[in-house]
Order: sequence, then C-alpha cells, then structure tokens
Amino acid sequence: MARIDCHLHVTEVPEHAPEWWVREMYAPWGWDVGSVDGSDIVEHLDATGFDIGMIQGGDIRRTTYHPDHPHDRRVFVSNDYVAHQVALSGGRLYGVAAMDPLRDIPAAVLELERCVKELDFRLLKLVPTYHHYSPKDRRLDPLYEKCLELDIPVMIHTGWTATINSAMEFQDPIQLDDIGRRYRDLKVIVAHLGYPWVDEGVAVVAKHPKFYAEMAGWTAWGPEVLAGALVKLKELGAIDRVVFGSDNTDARDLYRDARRIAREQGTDITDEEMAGIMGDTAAGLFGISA
Amino acid sequence: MVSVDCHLHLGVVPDHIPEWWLTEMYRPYGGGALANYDGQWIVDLLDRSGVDVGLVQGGDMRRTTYHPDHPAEHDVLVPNDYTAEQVALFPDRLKGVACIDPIRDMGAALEELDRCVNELDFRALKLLGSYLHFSPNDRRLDPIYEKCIELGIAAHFFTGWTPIITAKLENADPVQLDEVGRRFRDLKVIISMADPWIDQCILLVAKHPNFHGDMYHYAELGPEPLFETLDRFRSLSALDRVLYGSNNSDKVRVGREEATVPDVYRSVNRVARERGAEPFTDEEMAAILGGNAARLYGLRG
Repeated sequence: MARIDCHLHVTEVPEHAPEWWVREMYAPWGWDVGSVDGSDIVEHLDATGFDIGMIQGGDIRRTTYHPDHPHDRRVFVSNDYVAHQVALSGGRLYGVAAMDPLRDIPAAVLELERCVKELDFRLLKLVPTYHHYSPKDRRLDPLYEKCLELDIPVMIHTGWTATINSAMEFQDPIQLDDIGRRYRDLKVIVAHLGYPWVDEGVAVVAKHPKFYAEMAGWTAWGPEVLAGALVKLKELGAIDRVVFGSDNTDARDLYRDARRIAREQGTDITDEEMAGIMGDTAAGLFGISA
Repeated sequence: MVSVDCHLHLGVVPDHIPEWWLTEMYRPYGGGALANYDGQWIVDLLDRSGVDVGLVQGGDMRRTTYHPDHPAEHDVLVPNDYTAEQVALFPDRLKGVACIDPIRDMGAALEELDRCVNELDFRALKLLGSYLHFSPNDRRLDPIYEKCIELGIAAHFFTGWTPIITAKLENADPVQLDEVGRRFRDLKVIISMADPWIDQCILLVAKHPNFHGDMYHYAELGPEPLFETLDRFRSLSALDRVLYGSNNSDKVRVGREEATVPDVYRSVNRVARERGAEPFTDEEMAAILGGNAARLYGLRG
C-alpha cells in the first residue's frame, strides 16, 4: 500500500509570500525556510520514505499584516500553481484546494468545484485562525455542503501558529464539534490535532465517526506528546482514523520514538495500525489506489 | 546581576481585605496564610530567598467582591498610596506596581495610572480580568493600553484559575490576550502563568515578541515541572522573556520543602542532567531570576 503524506506546503518566496511572513512563521525555531516547489516536495518524499504527497497552497491576503511591512501582505499560492506542480510530479503529488471563503463565498464554492472536477484535487483545506473566522461560522455551510456533494474531505487547521496576525481564539478544535453534529457525513481532518488543545482534538475525533486526526508539525512538540495522543486515540477506538502529515518536516524519528514510548507505557501501536497511519487510511479517504 | 521577584502582594487584614476573602483564597491549600503582608514582611521574604528587588502590588476589587454570608464586607482595596508608602520605607528593595479598576471609572483610572508612574515611580500596571469581570480584549480597555505604551511600562495580566468564587473563569483564559497582542504590538505584556492554560501561556509568549511569562505558578512546585516549562520556553527561543515571581511564597513558609523558591530554580540543572538534557547556562538562569525583569522594569542591573 502507498505511504502518503497528507500535509505538505508549496510556496515560492517572495513570489507567493513575503520574506517577513515566512521568517515570522518560523521565528521561534530560528529556521531559515526558503522556496519550496513540487520538485522539492518529491525530494522530501524520497528522503523520508513516502510515495505520495498531498500539496496545498493558500490565499491569506485578506488577513496578512505587519506594521513594518504594511504594503507587503500578499500571501497567495494559487490552486493553479498547485495544479502545475502536481502535473510535473509524475504521479507523486495530489492537489489540495485552498481558498479564502470569506472573500467571496459563491466564488469559493465555484473554485472548489473547479479544483475537484477539472484539476482532480482530492480535498479542501480551511485555515480559520489565519482567516479570522470560527470553523462553525454558518457562512461556511455552502462549502461544507459542496464537500459532501463532491465527496471530498475537508482538512481544517486547528492549534497554534507563530504567525502574529493569526487569531488564537479560533484554534481550539472544540469549535469543530458543531460541524460534526450538523454534517454527520462530512469527513473532517483535524489538522495538527489542535496543539496545545490536544485533549480537545482527541475528544472531537473520538466522538465523530467521520473525523480524522492528523499531527503535522509535531516534530516541534516531541514524541512524548505524540505518544500521549496516539495512546488516547487507541483507547477511544479511533486509532484507525489517524493520517500522517509532515508539514514539510522529517517526522520519522518522531513516530518511531512515540511508538517506543507508547509501548513502554503499555500500549502497543501495532504494525497494522502504523500502516493505516502511514497511508492505508489516507488512501481510502482521498481515493488513491495502491 | 540583580535578582527580581516580579509578583508580590501587599495587604493587611482587615484594613485592606476582609478575613473571609483571604480564607476563601487559601481554602484549597488548607487555609492559613492570613499574614499581614506589609513592606517589612515582603523584605523579610526577599532576604530569606536571597532576592534583591521585589515588585509589589495592591489591588482594588471593591466593585466585584461579594459573599452572601458577609454582604457588607466587600471592600478589597489595597490603595496605590499604601503601596507607595511601603516602597518608600525600602526604596532600594521594593518597586511599585499600579492597580486600578478600569471599569469603575476609565477617566479616573487613566489619571491614576499616570500619577502612579510619573509621581510615585511605579514600574508597571496590574490588571485582573477575572476578578474584575472583564475580558482583556474588551475594547473599553484600549485607552489603558495606549497609556501604558505612552508611559513605556508593562501591563501584568492575571490569568488562570483562582479559588475566589466571584472571579469569572471565562475571563481567565489567557488566549483572550492574543487579540491584545495583535492590536497593540508595542505593548509589553506580562502573563501570570497558571493552570489550566499553561501551554497556551507559553505559546502566547512565543508568538508575541513583547509578551513575557511570570512564573509565579512554579513557586509552589518542584524542579521537575519548572524544568519542563523552562525547556519549552528555550525550545521556542523565548527564554529571554521569562520572569521569576513568587506570589509571596517561599518553600519554607508553605512547609513542603526545606528550600526557598530560588533554590528550586537552581535545582533545574539536576533535572536536566537526570534527563540527559542540555543544562541552562549561568547567564540564562541569572536572566530568569532578574536580568529579564531588570530590563523590563528599568532597574539597574
């Protein structure tokens, strides 16, 4: 079965994002992250042992701002750029549709339809904290209904980011519970599993049968945190709804160490469960054949 | 380098605080601790702990203090003038923190803050959202934040749990400070870190370059949780914005350990060694115990 990394970003700097924005994003770790295109992602997949990557762009123009760079706020990686990178990848990459729904809801719905039907994208990405809305905001309903109609999942960013203009009040994954109650057939990927609201992230995934946990970027938080989440998800019968995402980092040691810590604590994450996390579950979710 | 305790309370029972109020405050900890916290008491604490300077605060919670068994006893008021009087007795050891109830009278609160800083040489402001029933991101507070920026002082925010029953937990979640950080990027903010939102406090400090973490919560704990939190600040490049605070506590007084709170800080490298982690340097520890605060409050290093 294919190994799938479902959380990867493509961005060329400064064409798609100002340098200050990328620096601010990685400031706590002092990382110097430059441009990443589709070929870089394929190299990353090769280096980390994955077959398939789901790549996303983004449109954060409306809410990006820095007082020292008031006119330099164009964070926009278009879906057409993503599609182009997918087309160059020789079957290694699939597209994730990204848009700013509050800019223009009907246009966002049309764009989502175009991405899926014409560009063969496999899911929708929403970033409420960056866009300053709650995921349960009723204005989003037409997009959730379109996801159901197109039979694609929606991946929703939850949890912390270092970007200063993001709004932390929209990071708590408890806000997804309302969506789960109202759209019981909607497949929701809880991106980053809400860190540091991890208990809340586990709670909504365990509660809603079509919710999935994804821990992209957790190389920053360490294997103890990941082990704790995996153990809780297993205890609550949701380990078969965990999908792997890297957020462009090398997470091999993270998962190996988390599995060891879980075992030391008396919980065995089996080979079959690891295979599900590393690709089998995502393959079914995104309609990717082995 | 100077050592600084950024979180110390003044208050005398019953002159400033009804006895029931302090009893309610200490109920989860087994009661007791009904001491009269005047300047001499604070200086004695600093001496026992080997700390050079203490930031002392009073408080005005008259508007929201209430107990059904004591309806007439709701004057929790430690005036800024009392704080100034105690500071004047120990000018090299104590510095004042202004306390106001901004919702009572915004115009008067602004004038009082100005007076505290320009006439009484106070070094910071303390705001108590949960006790005073406002959210830190309430736009009515904007003039206070603008005044802090104008005066070049930091604003302490109480966040997290308190046993005081009339305090509103919905205004205790530190995430409400994120909007303040977005809108007032030059405002120096000090978050009183406490359960149950410790992770959120750490990440708020990591996100906003002018936010600082007041570690008073760790005064009652051992070196293990202290190490873990300091290690997380270090991993997020925010160790230079961590401040030592004791909340009037020393380990001898609470009887849990024969050590002062600074001794616990000096024990974190033992935990680091046991865990195979990188130790904190002498410079980093000196900054946590006072250097960072000296910079923030304009104290001589």
